[in-house]
Amino acid sequence: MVFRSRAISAASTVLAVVLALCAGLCGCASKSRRAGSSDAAVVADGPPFADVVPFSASLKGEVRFKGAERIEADFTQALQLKPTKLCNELDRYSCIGLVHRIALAGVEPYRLSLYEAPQHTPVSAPIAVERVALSGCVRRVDIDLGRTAGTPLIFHELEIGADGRLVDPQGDGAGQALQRLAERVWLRPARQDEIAALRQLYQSAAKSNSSQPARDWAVLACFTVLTSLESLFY
Amino acid sequence: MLLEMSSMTVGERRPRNFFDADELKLKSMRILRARSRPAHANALRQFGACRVLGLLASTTILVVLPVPAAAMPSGPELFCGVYVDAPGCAQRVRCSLCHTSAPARNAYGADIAAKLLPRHSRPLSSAEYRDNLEAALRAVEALDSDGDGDTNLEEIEAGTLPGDPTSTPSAGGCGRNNEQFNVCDYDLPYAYKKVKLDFCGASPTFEELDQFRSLDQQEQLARLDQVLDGCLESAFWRGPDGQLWQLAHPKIRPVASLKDGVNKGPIPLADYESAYNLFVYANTGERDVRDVLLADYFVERQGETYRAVEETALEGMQKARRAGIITTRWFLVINTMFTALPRLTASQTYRAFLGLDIAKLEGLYPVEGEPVDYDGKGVRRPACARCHSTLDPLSYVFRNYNGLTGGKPYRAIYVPDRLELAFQGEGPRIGETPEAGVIFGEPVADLRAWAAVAANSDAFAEKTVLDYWRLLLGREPNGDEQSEFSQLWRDLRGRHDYRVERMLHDLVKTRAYGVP
Repeated sequence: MVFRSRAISAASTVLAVVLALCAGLCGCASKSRRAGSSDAAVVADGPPFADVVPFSASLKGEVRFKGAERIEADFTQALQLKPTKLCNELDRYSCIGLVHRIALAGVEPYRLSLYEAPQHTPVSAPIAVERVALSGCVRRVDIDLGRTAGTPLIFHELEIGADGRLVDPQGDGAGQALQRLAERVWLRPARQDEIAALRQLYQSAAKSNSSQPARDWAVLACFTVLTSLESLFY
Repeated sequence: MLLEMSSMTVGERRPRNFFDADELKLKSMRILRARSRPAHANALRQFGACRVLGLLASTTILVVLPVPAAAMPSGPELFCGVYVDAPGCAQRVRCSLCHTSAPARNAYGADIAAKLLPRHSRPLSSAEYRDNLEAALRAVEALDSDGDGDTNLEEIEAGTLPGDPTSTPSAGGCGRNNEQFNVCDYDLPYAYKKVKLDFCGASPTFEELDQFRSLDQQEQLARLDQVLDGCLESAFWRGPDGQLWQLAHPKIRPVASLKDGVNKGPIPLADYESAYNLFVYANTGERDVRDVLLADYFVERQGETYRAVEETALEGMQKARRAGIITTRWFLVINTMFTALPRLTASQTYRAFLGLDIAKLEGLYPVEGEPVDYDGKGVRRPACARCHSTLDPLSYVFRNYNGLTGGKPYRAIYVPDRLELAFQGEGPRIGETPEAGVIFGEPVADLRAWAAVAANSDAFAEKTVLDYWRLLLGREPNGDEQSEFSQLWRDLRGRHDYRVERMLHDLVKTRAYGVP
């Protein structure tokens, strides 16, 4: 329950702002890919995507939702968490294995006669995915920042001041954390425009009334990457 | 138009949501396919040519019979003969070059059709089509068929689709760079990641993917096979509730409340795990997948290890009467009990293992003189007889298979006079119900013979591969992919000797699977 209240707290403070930025990031990235234009696409109030160049787009344009089991495996692999620690409703019931299994395109043949996964992603899938991602990110960041016992992995080199803020939002510590995050989730190095966009999140976190903007930023950067199209579809 | 003839060869699978005309065309193809099978020829002769023609006429099929595919020149080949250097011709040209969903044409295909001997009556002869297509292609080069701002010729030269406004040279075609994916050809790192996700259930790590990229192409191919072999052993693939179990769910249709054995439900009638075990066993290793319908053994599981056994505590079918999953206690309990003529058992087998759903008018092979209506259900009425003339002869072979026999523990066994003993109230003719039946127009003496015809049919191989195709690609094969799909199930029957894992090694190397 403690974990749950922390997650809700983090979400309620800056989630709305970040989601808006995520939408901007996705939308702009998508636009630049579709158009293949060298014109700089711009995140709201952010730097231009100067590095984005035209590239061949897939003629299929076909990706598949990973679904419950693969999301659980990939999230736990990326965040180095045990499945039992990734997300539990009421601290007891597995989000993926039980509570949100159907929402995440799983099947339940034995009691519900749902023999096959739906052809299309269920309408409640985004909410369930975000719930799981946010939970996992809170876990990972709290371990990395020494708030919970465990082995640091991604955000442990952030320099955080006594006021809970990043000492240098543009510094190497944040950049390296984002690179590690991208490599673990996207399986590739992050591009500079992606790093810039994720750094940009910090401005919103810092403007909020949160007493721990550095932690909130880390959680939401993780959340942004984990809920990206590239992370959830294949 | 360019591809409609070349891509629609007899026996190929079409998406199920096509128009009525196509439905009729497909049925006509199935009938023609049946006629082409030596095994079915005798049975069809039994109906007589008039009956076959009558059936064709009654379903208005004759008007849409396809021209034999081999007679018409290949549209893509002719196209690439004109545009030799087009990037799209370095790979196989896609149906979507000219079609939305073949035979429907997109804007580019429609423009070509309008320029192709416009004053000639249709259909064009092969020679007319072959000799005049280039002129039609040239005539539409300067047009912008899809209205995206680029002429058709510019799009052809850039490797984009002139009939698709979202595919433009400015959006990037095959000629442009893409650091992450080879979007125009089989992409080995992409396929590697997919194999890990599809068969092992998790992405590779960054380091694993990086290491894979560092290999040369031959090494990557070898590594891909190696990873696939490893994943085929994983719990994600073959364990309880793994991918193979998920493939089996619609076939077995488990109900937890009726489960016997481990984790039994409140009304333990049979253990469906026995059916799952046999399914996984036959679909893994160097084993014959036809055993799902032919096995005269049972399978037990420990963890992810499956082992064939002669008997199990919860099964009891006589060895000489066994026919794989369809004679397990669960299958007979859930489908046969408590009916005299087990039509549901037959139709579920037909649907689940052969991909033919009688309720959707699929796989109809009417038998002369049928249905007799031994159980007095009124199935001779015209509205019923059309399907029941196929379904009832399919069902007779199940007449003596009983799911719940005796007291606890119940047994699923073959009871020679099952109908006579337990279903006297089902009409005066119930005892006349024969055990001999008919499947695909072929007379069979009993269920084992019925299962042998089923397991050796094209339909079984096609359905087996289709299940995996849908599992791994999330949809049925589209027009572009028909030849790869067709090759897979033909190879399953042929050079792969019904070994599923061999087929899967081919499936993951198809363009459908490995081109991003």
